[in-house]
Amino acid sequence: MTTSVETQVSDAPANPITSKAPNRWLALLFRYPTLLMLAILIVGFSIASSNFLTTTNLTTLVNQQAVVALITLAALLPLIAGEFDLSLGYAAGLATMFGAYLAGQGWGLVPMILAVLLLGVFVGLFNSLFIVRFKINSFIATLGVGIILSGGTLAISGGEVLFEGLPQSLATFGRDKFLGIALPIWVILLIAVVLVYLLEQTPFGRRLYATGGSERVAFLAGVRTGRIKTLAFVGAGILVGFAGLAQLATTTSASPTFGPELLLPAYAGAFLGVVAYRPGYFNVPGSIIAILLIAVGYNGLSLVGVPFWGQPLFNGAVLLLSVLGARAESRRVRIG
Amino acid sequence: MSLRARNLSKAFGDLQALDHVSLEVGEGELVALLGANGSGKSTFAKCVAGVYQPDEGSIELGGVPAVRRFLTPTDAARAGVRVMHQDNPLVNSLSVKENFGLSTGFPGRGSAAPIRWRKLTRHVQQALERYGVEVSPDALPATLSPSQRAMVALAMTLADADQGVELLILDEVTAHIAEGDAAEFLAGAARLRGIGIPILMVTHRFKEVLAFADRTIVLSGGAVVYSGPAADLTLTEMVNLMAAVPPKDQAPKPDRVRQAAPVAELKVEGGSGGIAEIRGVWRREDLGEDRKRPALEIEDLEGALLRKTALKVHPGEIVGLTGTADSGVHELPEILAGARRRQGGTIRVAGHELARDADPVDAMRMGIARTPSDRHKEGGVMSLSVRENITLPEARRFWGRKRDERKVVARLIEALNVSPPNPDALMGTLSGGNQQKVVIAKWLLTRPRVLILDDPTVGVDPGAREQIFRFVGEAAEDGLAVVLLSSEPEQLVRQCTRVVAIAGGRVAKELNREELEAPEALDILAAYGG
Repeated sequence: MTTSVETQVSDAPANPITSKAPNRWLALLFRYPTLLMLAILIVGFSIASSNFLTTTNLTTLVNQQAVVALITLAALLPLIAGEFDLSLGYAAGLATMFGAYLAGQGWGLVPMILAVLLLGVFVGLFNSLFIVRFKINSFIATLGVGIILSGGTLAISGGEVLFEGLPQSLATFGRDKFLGIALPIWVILLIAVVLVYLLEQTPFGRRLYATGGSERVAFLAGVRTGRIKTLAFVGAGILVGFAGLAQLATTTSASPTFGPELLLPAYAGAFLGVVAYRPGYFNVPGSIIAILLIAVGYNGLSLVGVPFWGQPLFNGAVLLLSVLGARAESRRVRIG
Repeated sequence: MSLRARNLSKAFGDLQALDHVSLEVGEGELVALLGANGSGKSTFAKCVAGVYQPDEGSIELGGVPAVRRFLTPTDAARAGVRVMHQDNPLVNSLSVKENFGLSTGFPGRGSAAPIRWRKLTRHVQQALERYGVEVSPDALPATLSPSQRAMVALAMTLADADQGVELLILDEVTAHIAEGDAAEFLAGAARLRGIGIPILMVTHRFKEVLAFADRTIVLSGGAVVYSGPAADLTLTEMVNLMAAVPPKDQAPKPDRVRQAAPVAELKVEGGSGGIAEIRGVWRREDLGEDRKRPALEIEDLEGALLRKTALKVHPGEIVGLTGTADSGVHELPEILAGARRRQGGTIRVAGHELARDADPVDAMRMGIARTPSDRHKEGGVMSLSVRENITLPEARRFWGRKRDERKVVARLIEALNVSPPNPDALMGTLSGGNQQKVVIAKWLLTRPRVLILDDPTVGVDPGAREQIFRFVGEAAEDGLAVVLLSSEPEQLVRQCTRVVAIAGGRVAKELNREELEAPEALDILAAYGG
């Protein structure tokens, strides 16, 4: 009796389809519809434009994604816990400006980095104060906090672009490459690996997903859901701090208008990420594939001469079609 | 105006939910349809209401030639069937007349044209008067009593029947209403007999049957096991009938009353070693060592409704708890699990006191496990897998030990006969009974001293019930203290070593095993229970 059970025990991913061997490849494809789309786009753009499949183009393309990738990862944590964080864009703007401001005041690189990350922690705590303690809907609470933060950005910048006093080492870090990929991107990959570990291997990840699935059930099962949510928002704040630093490193300046426009692309990436890797759940690898998919679409379409207004059409359509496809797919899983 | 259903049969896969059921409700008659969960009573109601299509038989309403079946609820409604459900259909932010408008249409020239308020008020006024509801059309539902709200809902259910109501089905309408309000509402509903409306009342409350029904029909295993005047049945007989096995190839006889079959005689499908084989997974090492010392001691407990409640449960005991919705008995599992604050009193688990401001983590650490009655809201995370649900409270224990986790989960799934036996299946795709087994597995894994089962068989099929009680019984023999909260007297009599009835927030009656064997035990429990 026990042996028959043990043969069932495997480390196969949590997807009923993959356990059927003949359909393994097909199943893999279903698990990564966005990866398939990415491959199709890459092949298509390579044929359509000779400038697409060049090392310069591809590395530039990847290197441009640092900030949006970090904000997407930041959006994921509250999303998994069942909450929204609309302050992310504003917070990224404030983090960037705060870093530039401190540099202008003569702060060194390391204290400046620590201060920006600490700012992220505070933003997360501030958000969770309203959501966890005062039980305000996160949609409204983070919107309010975000608007306050944008006021802070304007206040410390005086409405001007700040660029003086930024440490040379930061700019070098933003420019330097390893294997053609900018160093900030390597840092992001490292962060992503840590997040994957946290979300999939640790009790924290389990509790985070359970809280998002049903806060009441999680609470009754001994999960301190308030603490879990606070951690999610603080994590998001720290990641936004990193996003601000990445922005400073790549552009070596801070604009008072930077930030809010990143919110929607970040959420698009997080939602699009749901269709891949761990279908049906917000997850890190799926989101990273999604960001690459959108970036390749953006880059390729401009190379083949699609007018500028074609971009948003493409991005929106990809998001809607993928999510529709994923819903059909998840229905299939449920029935089978 | 009347219903004549002949030989209705309906099967779901292998399960014969209805087996040649014939039933009549005459003009101005109130017939109670009784039966345990899974007896086929709601299947019958749904066949008449056009929700299900019977495989066999015919339905005749109001003298119109019989039809084979109704294809949709709309067909049934056109033929004059009205169904009132247990869920309150009133939108709280809208007035009574606006609620009527939503359900029966607003008078006016079209959706975009202005509502003719005066006409609406007049219509609603008339409908309320016709059905004896003394409520203003302008009242907000929140300002009404539960029985008034139910009466408004009833008037709404009947309001659009211009050609007359051929049958009113009350489908467990009082399930969420406290006993006093329920009686008030049913008294109002019963008055509808005066205007000739035939009423079929589906219920599991015996008192309602005795107080309001003209005739009682008892279903068991999809067949009619009793049909006769309501006054002829005692509570005990009703309970026994509900637990009876339907007679095969025999005409139903009113005098056929069977004693509930003891657990041991019931055959359980499949099943491996059961709980005993996985002792290492769920059992605390010192569990049940000292059977003299109570595992759970409650003294002077004060809750919102509970008053000076005291209870002791020893290792190895299965103590039943029963009481009506307003008795306060339902607070007990929540207080013990740390899900609700108590106002006073002490709770000790194996001699250690549970703090007054204890949260679920504290309760769990002390060895209290509770399976909630509302599986969907409190029992399982439907979007996560069976495995993730089972190990949720013990996530830390399996950190970095996925292989161990999978092994333990596989053993629990096998021991509890969870179907499908796939740890990666999503919780939401499981049937009610299997979800309940997963919830029990989850709490067993916390190595409890006290297991509290709060109405564990709601929406659970009979086979799974027997399995659940079998392994709970085994765990109790092994030293676990079990508290079973149930409103089904036959379940309490069968499973418990002793039963405590709560009324008005206090312990009102205690029956030991010997007293539970006595024939009047079911009567007593039914009188205290839901």
